[in-house]
Amino acid sequence: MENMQQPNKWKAFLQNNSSQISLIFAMLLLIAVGGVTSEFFFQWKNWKSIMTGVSIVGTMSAGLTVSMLLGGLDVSQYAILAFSGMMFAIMLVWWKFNFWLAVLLVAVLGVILGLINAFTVCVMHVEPMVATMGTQFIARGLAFIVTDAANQRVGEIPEVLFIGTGNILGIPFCFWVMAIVYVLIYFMLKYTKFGRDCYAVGANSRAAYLSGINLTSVRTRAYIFSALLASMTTILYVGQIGSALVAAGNGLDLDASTAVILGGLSVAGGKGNVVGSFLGCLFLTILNNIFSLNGVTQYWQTVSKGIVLIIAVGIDSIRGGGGEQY
Amino acid sequence: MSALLEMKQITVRFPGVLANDNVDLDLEAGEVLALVGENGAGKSTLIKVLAGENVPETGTVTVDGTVMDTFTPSVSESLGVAVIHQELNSILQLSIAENIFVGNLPLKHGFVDYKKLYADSLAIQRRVGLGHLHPSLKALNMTVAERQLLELAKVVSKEAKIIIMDEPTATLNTSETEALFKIIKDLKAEGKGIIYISHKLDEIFAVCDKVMIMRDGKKISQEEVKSITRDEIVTQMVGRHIEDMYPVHERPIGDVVLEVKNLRTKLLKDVSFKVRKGEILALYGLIGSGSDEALRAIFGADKFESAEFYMDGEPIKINKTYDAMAHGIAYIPSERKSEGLFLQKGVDYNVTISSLGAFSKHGVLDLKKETSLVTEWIDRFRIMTPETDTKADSLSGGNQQKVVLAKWLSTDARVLLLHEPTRGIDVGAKVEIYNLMEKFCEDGYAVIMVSSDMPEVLAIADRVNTFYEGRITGEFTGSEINMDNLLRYAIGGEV
Repeated sequence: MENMQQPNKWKAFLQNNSSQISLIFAMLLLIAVGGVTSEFFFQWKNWKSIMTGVSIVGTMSAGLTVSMLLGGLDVSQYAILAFSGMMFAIMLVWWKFNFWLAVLLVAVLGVILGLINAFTVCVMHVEPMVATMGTQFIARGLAFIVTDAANQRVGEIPEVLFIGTGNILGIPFCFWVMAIVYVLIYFMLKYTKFGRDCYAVGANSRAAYLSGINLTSVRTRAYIFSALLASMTTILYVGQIGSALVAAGNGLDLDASTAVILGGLSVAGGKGNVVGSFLGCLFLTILNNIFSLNGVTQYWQTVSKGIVLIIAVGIDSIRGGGGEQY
Repeated sequence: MSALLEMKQITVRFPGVLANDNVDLDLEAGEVLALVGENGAGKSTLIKVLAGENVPETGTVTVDGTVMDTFTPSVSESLGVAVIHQELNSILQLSIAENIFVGNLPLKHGFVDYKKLYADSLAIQRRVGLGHLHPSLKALNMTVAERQLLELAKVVSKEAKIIIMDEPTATLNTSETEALFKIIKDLKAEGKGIIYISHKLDEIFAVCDKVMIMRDGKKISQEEVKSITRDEIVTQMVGRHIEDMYPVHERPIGDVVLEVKNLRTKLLKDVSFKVRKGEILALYGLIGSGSDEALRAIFGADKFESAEFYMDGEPIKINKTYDAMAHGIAYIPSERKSEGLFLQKGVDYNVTISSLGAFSKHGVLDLKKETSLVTEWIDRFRIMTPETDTKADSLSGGNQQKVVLAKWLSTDARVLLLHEPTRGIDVGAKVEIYNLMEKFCEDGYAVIMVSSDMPEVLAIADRVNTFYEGRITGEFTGSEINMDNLLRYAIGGEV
């Protein structure tokens, strides 16, 4: 029963990227709503603030995409951001470390926290969500302990100021950083063995192991990526605020996951891509922006985030894009 | 007296395919009808009509005098039709009893009456040869063969009039198959009608009364099993004459490539064997004998307690699959869909996942080169796929198996471990796989095969080691490889 009629490449593209494409349409609709409800919406200044805002959740989500491709949630990112942020400020202000040394040490901290996640998942065989929840509590608690729960101002360090407020070609520096991270991760997932292996492990870990893939190595690297990008994002975050906040991202722990899932990534693993994650982040940031412009409270923003997530993932699932129905 | 089942002029059309073309099927009570045909011949489509999963464009279905007016699974079930699917559907976390009576548990004051449940369950278990297991045992602790019988138990409990068995022996060994045949004969005596789908022609002659042959969506013929030969069935199935299903092997055999010494697992007791270049070694044993465990241990797929491995006489260490792969060992699993393939990924992805190094430079994959390599494999193995990136899920079993073979042949492997290489594959594709295996040997590969398909072992193995209760009980070559020897030693050797 081989049906050898010439298949349509475009049709395949649309089918493979249905979640991302519907998200783009939803976003266009959202932008139209934004334009209608607020005259300030289309001003360049507003778009710059959207770009600044998306760069935080966006950069983290790029890393999260890698760890979530393996299946399961990773909820430790925002806590890692908070803890690394405190350490970053302490190194710069209390210990007077060189800026680049501080950046390097924050990266090392991210790698260590990622290794803890990897160890719990790979060696102790704990479900990813539970494992990263553990790290989340540890990092969240340590963020308060290191300064005795005091926020730490970073002050007038030129590099930090530039990261937070600088522009290149009129576009916020943070946004450039995020864009470069996305290009790198996109390339890595598509053109390296590690990227292929991530999809294999997420899609069917048993088959991946029987294909000669070292599961522990793939998982370890993926969790390191996720935590490393969370800890590096803290530099953008501290730069934007000018302080390290002990409660940074508190209550937002699932924000990046929400964006990534909105972008078509399956929590079961093996399905999704980094372009979708970016679109998901952008969508949520624009949504928040529109609410803020119209004076809607933070609380309603949270409610709407929930509604959007349920609708988006629900539609995808009903259409059969979300995997098994039974 | 009317027939138990009458399907008349069934036509089913899918987009671009006429899956069933005016097909008739008749089944009497107390009769076993074999339904044969290559994959894609339309057997499953026809069965799904009966099971209420497909709605025919035209045609009628009459079960025991009642015309099936709507086609839904619940209507089909209420008419007394039960299907045992090839995929095992037992819920692993539930007990045997719960699996059998799920949705229909006996209650007492609103709570489950476990005493009655277990008693009822045991009565049914005895009828299908599962009487030795306690009804509270969870399905996940059963062997695959036992779970196959559990599927049968579920059907028996529903007191179905028509039982459809789709490849029921795919996971069974010879003695278990014999046990199943006995159960089928009992069911037959109770007046059930059985439709038996199988690729194994021997079974048809052993247990069926009539055989209906399908090809390209059409019914080709229906005959009494007594009045048809094996060759005639095959000819009608494939539409051409297959002189010999199994290739003849006359080829030079070289030095020992892989040697396994003192392999020890929970089950295996110091098992040693070796395979030579250009040789097909078969490990043959009944389920639970350890032959499959030995194969999987070589690849690091399952844990083992201790073993020594030698490659070309040099000791090597194998703990994980990637160790085995690095030493040139490849494993083609029996569970093609769950262990061999990434079903939602394309043919290209599946073929290259274990050999990405072959087309990467400084760690960067050359996707153009990948496509050309994949195209080569598709040509060489005649993999029927519309595109290089078609999802593996949509290929037929034979083509899927070729994808898995291509995956491993594109690595640096020199030893191929084949686990049930032709399970669930139609006759035409089987022959192709055998020819490929022959070709691998000519090209200098060493092959170790575990198969429960006795004729297959008899026909293509150069040497056979029989397994019984974790030990090797015999070694056979040439004319010693016969059914009598293999069976005798697989059930414990000289008695």
